[in-house]
Amino acid sequence: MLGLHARNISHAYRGRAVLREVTLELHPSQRLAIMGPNGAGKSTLLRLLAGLEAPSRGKVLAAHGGGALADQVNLRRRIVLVLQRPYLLNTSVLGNVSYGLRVRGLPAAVAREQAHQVLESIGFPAKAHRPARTLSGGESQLLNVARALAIQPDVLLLDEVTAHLDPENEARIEQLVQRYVAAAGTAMVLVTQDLAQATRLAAEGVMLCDGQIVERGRLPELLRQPRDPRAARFLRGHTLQAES
Amino acid sequence: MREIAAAFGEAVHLLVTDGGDVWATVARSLYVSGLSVAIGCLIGLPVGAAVGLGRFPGRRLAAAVLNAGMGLPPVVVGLFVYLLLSRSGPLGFMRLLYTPSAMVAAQTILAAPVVAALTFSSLAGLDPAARLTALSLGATNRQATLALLAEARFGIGAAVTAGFGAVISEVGAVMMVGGNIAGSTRVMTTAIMLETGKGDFQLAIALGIILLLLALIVNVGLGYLQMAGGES
Amino acid sequence: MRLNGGCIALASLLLLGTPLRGLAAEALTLATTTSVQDSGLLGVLLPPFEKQNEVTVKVLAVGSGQALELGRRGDADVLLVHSPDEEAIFVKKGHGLARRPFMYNDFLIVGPNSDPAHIRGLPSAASALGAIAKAQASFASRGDESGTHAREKQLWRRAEVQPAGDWYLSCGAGMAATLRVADEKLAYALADRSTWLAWKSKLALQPMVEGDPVLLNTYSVIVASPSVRPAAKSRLAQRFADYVFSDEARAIISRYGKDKYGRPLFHLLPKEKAATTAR
Repeated sequence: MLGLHARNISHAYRGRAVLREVTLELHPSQRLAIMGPNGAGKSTLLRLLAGLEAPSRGKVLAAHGGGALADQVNLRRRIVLVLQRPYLLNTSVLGNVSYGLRVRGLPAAVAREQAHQVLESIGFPAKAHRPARTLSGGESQLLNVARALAIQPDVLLLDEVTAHLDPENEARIEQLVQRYVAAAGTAMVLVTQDLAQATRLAAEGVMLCDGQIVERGRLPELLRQPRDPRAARFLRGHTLQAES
Repeated sequence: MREIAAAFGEAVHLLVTDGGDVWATVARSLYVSGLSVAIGCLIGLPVGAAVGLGRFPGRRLAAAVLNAGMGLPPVVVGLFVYLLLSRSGPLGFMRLLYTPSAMVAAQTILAAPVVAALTFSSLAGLDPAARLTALSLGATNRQATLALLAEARFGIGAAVTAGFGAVISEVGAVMMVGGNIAGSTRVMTTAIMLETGKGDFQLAIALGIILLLLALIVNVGLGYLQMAGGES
Repeated sequence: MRLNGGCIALASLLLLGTPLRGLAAEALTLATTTSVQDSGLLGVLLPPFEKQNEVTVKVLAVGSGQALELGRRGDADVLLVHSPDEEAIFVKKGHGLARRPFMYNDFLIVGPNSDPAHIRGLPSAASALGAIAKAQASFASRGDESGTHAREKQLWRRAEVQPAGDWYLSCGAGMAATLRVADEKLAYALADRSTWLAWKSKLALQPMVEGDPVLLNTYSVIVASPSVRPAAKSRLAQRFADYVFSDEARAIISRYGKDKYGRPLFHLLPKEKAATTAR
C-alpha cells in the first residue's frame, strides 16, 4: 500500500501564490478530509498529491522514499484523482470505465471484462454500451467515481465529488466509496465543503485557509474546537450544515 | 433549350457507356485530390494538433497563421507552384510541370492548411478537463494526447473532409500546373472548362453531375461530422 | 429629412458617374481565334474602326471551330477565323455571308534543340509528323478544335498516322499555352507564325520544319447570317468586314510586327482577289 508525503510544498499559479509551505503526510489506508473556504487551494493540493503537476517549491514523495512523484509514472499510476465535474470520454460507458485499465497496458479483452464487473457492482451493467454522455448528472458522477475505482488505486483522491448532487445520488456515491475503501484498504483524501460528509467518510481532517494548513486533527473533534481564527470563521459559517 | 436537354441525355449515356473517358477522368480527379488530402493530413494533422494541444509562447500567432492558410487563393498557389517548377525556376530540373505530381503538389499546399486549421480548432475547443481526466486516470503525456485526438475525432474527420472538399472542386491551380493534357493531367474540373469552351456540353454535363454528387457527399458528410462532434 | 437629401445626392452621383460612352456606344461581338488574339493585331486594328463608328468591339477569342459555332448560334456578329474547309461548310450551310480571305501567314513545326525525331530541315511537314510518330517523340497538340488543330489533323491524315499514346499530348489550350507545354516537356508542336514570333524569345524551342506549301494559313472575315442577328448588328458587322479591306486597315496589317520582330506577322492577300468574293 502506498502513502504520500508532501514536504513543505509551495505552489504559485500565474504569479499568484496558491499554496504556502504545506506539509502533509498520508499514511497507507488513512482516510483524510481536507476542508476550507473556496479558493483555499484544496483542488491544487489534490492535483499535486496526484503527481499531475510538480509543486513550484518542495516535493511530493511516496511515503517510503524515492524521487518526486511527478516524475514517476508507475508511482503516479497507483493514485487516482476524481474531479468534481465529471469529464466523460466521448465513448461508451464501458469505454470510460476501461480507459484507466487500458492505458496501464491491460489487454483490451481483460480490461473490458473487469470494466463489466465494475459496472455490475454499481448497478448499471445494462448501460455498458450506451454513449457515456447520455447519462444523467447523478449517473455521470457515479461513472466518474467507478472508473477511478476500476483501476484499484492505492490512493484515492476525491475533489468535492458530491457537491452538485441530490441527496440520493450523494448517498450512492458515498456508499460506493466507503465499500471500496474498506475492502481494499486504500488511502483516501476527500476534499469537501460538507462537514458532515467529512465526518462520515474520514477519520482525520485538515483545514486549509489561504493556502496554509491551519488546523489538523481527528474528526469530529477538529470541528468542535478550532484554534485558528480563520478555521473558526469557516466553521461558524458551516455550523448549521455540520449539525444536520 | 432543346439542345441542352439533348446534351443532358447524351451525358447520362456517356456515364453509362464510359464514353469520352469519363470515368478515367473522374478517377484521375480522385487520385490527385485524394493523394493531396492524404499528404495534407500527414502535414496538417500533426501541425494542427501541436498548436491545438500545446502551450507555448506565440501560440496565438501560430493559430492565426493556420487560419490565414485556409484563405489561400488557389490561383495564387498555382502561380507559386508554376514558378517553382517551370524550367526557369528553382525546381525546374525535376521536370515536374504539367504532370500529375505538380497538381498534387499544388493541391497539397491548398489542403494542408485547411486540415491544420480545422484540426487546431477542434482540439483547442476541447474541454481542458479532458486532458486532466486522462492524466488523472493514469495516462502518460503521449497517451493523453492520443485520448484527446480520439475525443476530437469528429472534428478531425470534418477537417479531412473539408480539405478534400476544397481540392476536389478547384480548377485554377490544377489548370495552371497541370496543363489539362488529355489522358495525363486532365481532371474533372479542367475537362468541364475545356468542353464548355468548345461548346461540347455532353461531356461537361456528365462530369458536372459526378462532381456535383461528390460535392454533395462531401458536404453532407461534413455536416454530419460537425454535428456529431458538436453533440458530445 | 437628411435621409431623403442623401438619397437624392446618391442617385445623382450614380447617374452622373455612369460612363456616357457605355450608354451611347453600340457593341459589336467579334469571335476570333486565340492565335489572332495572342498576336496582338487586334489591339492596333480595332481602335480606328471603333472610333470611326463609335462602337466597342467585344472580342471572344476561342478556337476556330468554337468561333464558327458561336457564329452559328448567333452569339457573335462577325468572325475572323482561319479554317478554310470548315469555313466553306459554314457558308454553304447558310450560317454566314461569304467568307472573305484577307491575310495569311504560315504554320511551322517547332521542337526541342535535341530533335529526337531528326526532322530538322525536312521539306515535307507530313513526313516530319510521320517521323515524330515513328520515334514516339513528344508532340504537344492544341487539342481544342482550333484552326491550328484542324491543320495538324490534316497533316496527320496525310502522314497516314493516327496519333495516340503517351507521347501525344492533347492540351486543349490556346497556342501560347500549348507552346509552353511543348517547351517544358521538350516536345514538338505545330505553331502559327505570329504566335511563334511573339513568343520564341521566351522559349527554348527551335524551328524545325517550315516553308511547305501545306503550312500556309489563310485568315478570313465572315459576317454571321443576318437571320440570327438583329439588323443593326448585321449592318455594323458588314461595315467591319468592309473596314478590314480598307486601305487604312491594310496598312496597319502589313506593318504589324515589323518593328518588334523584324518582319510583319501577317501578309496581305492581293485586294483584287479578295474583292471578287460575293458581297
